[in-house]
Amino acid sequence: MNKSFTERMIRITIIAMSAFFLLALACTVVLYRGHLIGFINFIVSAGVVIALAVLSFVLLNQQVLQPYHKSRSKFRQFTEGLMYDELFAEQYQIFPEMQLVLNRFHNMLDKQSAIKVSTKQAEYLALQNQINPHFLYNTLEAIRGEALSGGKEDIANITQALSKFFRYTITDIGSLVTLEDELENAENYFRIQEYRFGTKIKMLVNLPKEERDILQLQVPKLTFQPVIENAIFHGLEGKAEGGTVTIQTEITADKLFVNISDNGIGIGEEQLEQLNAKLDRVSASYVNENRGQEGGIALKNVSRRIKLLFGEEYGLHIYSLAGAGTDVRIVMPLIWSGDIRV
Amino acid sequence: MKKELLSIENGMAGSAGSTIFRRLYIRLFHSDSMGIVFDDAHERKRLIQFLKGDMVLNAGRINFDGQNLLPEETPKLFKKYIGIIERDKKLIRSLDIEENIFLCAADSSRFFIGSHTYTNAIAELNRQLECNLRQFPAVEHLSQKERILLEMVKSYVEGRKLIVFSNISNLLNETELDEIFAMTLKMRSLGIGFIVIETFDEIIMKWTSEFIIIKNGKTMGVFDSGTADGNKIYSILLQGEKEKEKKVPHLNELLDEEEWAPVLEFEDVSAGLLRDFNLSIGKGEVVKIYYTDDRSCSQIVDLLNGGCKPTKGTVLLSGENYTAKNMYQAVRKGVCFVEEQTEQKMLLKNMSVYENVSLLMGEKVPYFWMRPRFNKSIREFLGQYLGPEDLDKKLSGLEPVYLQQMIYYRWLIYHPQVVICIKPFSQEDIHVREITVMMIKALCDRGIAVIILTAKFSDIHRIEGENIFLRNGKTIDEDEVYQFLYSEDGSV
Repeated sequence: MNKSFTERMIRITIIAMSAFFLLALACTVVLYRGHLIGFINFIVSAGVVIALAVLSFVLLNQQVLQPYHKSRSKFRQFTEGLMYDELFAEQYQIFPEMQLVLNRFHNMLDKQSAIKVSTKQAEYLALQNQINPHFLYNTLEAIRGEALSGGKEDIANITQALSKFFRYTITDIGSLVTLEDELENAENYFRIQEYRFGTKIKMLVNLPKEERDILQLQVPKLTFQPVIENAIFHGLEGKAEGGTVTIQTEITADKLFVNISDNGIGIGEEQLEQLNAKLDRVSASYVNENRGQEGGIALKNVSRRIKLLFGEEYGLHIYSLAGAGTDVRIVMPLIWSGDIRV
Repeated sequence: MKKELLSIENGMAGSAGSTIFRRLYIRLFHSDSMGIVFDDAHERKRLIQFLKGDMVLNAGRINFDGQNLLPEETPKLFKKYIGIIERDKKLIRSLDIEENIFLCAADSSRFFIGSHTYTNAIAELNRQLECNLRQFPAVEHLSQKERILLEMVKSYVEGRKLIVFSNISNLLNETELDEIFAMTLKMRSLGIGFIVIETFDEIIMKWTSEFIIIKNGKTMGVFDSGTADGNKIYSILLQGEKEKEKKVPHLNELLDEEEWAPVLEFEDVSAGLLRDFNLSIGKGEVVKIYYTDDRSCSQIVDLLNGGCKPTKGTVLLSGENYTAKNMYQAVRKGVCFVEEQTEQKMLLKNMSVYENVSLLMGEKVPYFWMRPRFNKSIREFLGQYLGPEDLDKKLSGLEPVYLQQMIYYRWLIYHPQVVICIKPFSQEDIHVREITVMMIKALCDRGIAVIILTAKFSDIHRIEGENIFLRNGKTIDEDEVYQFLYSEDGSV
């Protein structure tokens, strides 16, 4: 176990006091002898004292100052929301009780309640749309039937896509779904947007060919659609010639990487910095329910949900160069259907 | 299924109140190759220091080959598993090729090593990497390409998992780069990952599967090398360069009606490897010489700086026979040089900006340093472009773009007849390259003839002017260059 801060201070004070005691002793010897030998003694003693003083300083720096600055940096990052679990994993010893307090505090934090807070916004949005789901589905089915009988296949298709999208969006917000379902919902959403934008926008999905079962991976529901929505409305809509949204996935032994990119107008450096700063923060206090006040709320919510569900090493990060497009990279743990890892 | 080799998330680094990296994100998989383009050469140096294990990040999540690391744990691991290949040579001249390769290999436990000891191991390496290590000459005779290939093999033998190339495209010509690329493909198939740190260049697009752009200490963009529009990204990175152009002087000394006369002429010059070389350049003109072998370049430079004399033909400067005993005499006669790696070779760090720029004025104006009138007028001139408050600053802390400008201002005020620029676009910083183009144009505007020597074919399109192509000392035409670049077998 590490020595406490106080213990270290006491040891160093003792060393420093010993050094000064030796210095005083050496001076006394010199004063009383008053000869050449005494002078040499003094020089040697002074050398020893200086060496001890340097040693004391090195010890003070290594044992106290450096750990102090390191700890302070971690506390600062915690307050800025850049760090969560690492703070509790660190062994702090300013006084032994402090570590116990931190451990107890960590145990007291109910992670599940934080997850609930994060899903609250999504549920709220769902409720807004859930005036009467059955009435909505029946009406959409009726419109689709009319469109088919009238030979309006495109209206029938868009109505079907809308119906599927609502059904998927409204139910079971908090659950995990398969990558296949999430991609299908993304395609449905894109089909609806295509009706508005026409051939101006395109979507490509690239899955690794060698991974046959990748579609059975589990991902949080409604992870991709908000990102695609952002890509269309903040990236491609402002570009006269339109563009393409590309979804790419990659897996390792324990992680799933999803990259949703667009070749739209991109994001300015300052705005990107602010967005990423918010995406990196994990604290529940950052939950913002004021939808529509600013762009990127949905992305923050997706990132927060992923971080709270799986840990702060997962989440979203945005890369963008104004004029050259945007990449949203999502990192999640690899969870196969049937795994219980959350 | 891929395997992560290096992952850095939210990396931060800085010292003494200045931030170097703020949101550094890098993710590389085994057997993959990633490009890194920097907006600033200073950040590039720091990242290489970090990958060498000579610097630590202050914070960030770091994972190397499946192992989560605290920032202070990276140096030990990086020193062991990351190989950096750059301009500095890492092979020991007094050792054989085999000894160099196996010296630090993990399973090298013998006390007495020699070429015979490793016969089987070399044969096995030749088989694995499909190369012939026995064909390499002694270390002191290695070409840059051979040296880089051997350093790659050495890294592989030493069990390094990641190889980083730092600005190697300026050391090699296109064919040599193709050979190195072929070796990277073989090594990638053996699980080694590569990071290619270059200026925004075709090698980034060709060698890597994706590349990232680090700007202002942050990973700003990630692009698929196969689909990204390189020209567009390059122009975005250079936004703001137009503003800098306004600060470069346009002196327009030439009169339109002035009769053209050659400043420097090579008439059927032969010397060493160089055979029947002809060149004629007038005031304010640019001639770009693309060479496929270093000896052709060094022969031309030697002819001008007194390193050698023509065995046949004549060199004329302003119509008179030109000879120089040394570089100093060449400069006095009006033939000046901008060398590669200008910052290290041409600037004196303990002198101020003004002293560095005006360094050679004493050769042109007698008692220059004791004549306040001259000093004042030059200060006023330089102050307009370099900033009056910066003229008395020491060089440390100045941006690479500023340092590059200083070199060219030195010749701009010295006003020689010809400036020879050796690999002028070899700097790692894209802004430095862009300012170099502007400064060469400023030299031309002042009536100074500029000869550009480059081993990189793409560089000849950076600036307008006549092109000359040299291969093994002989002038060839552009079609032959294309044949040379694209028809030869690039295998090792």
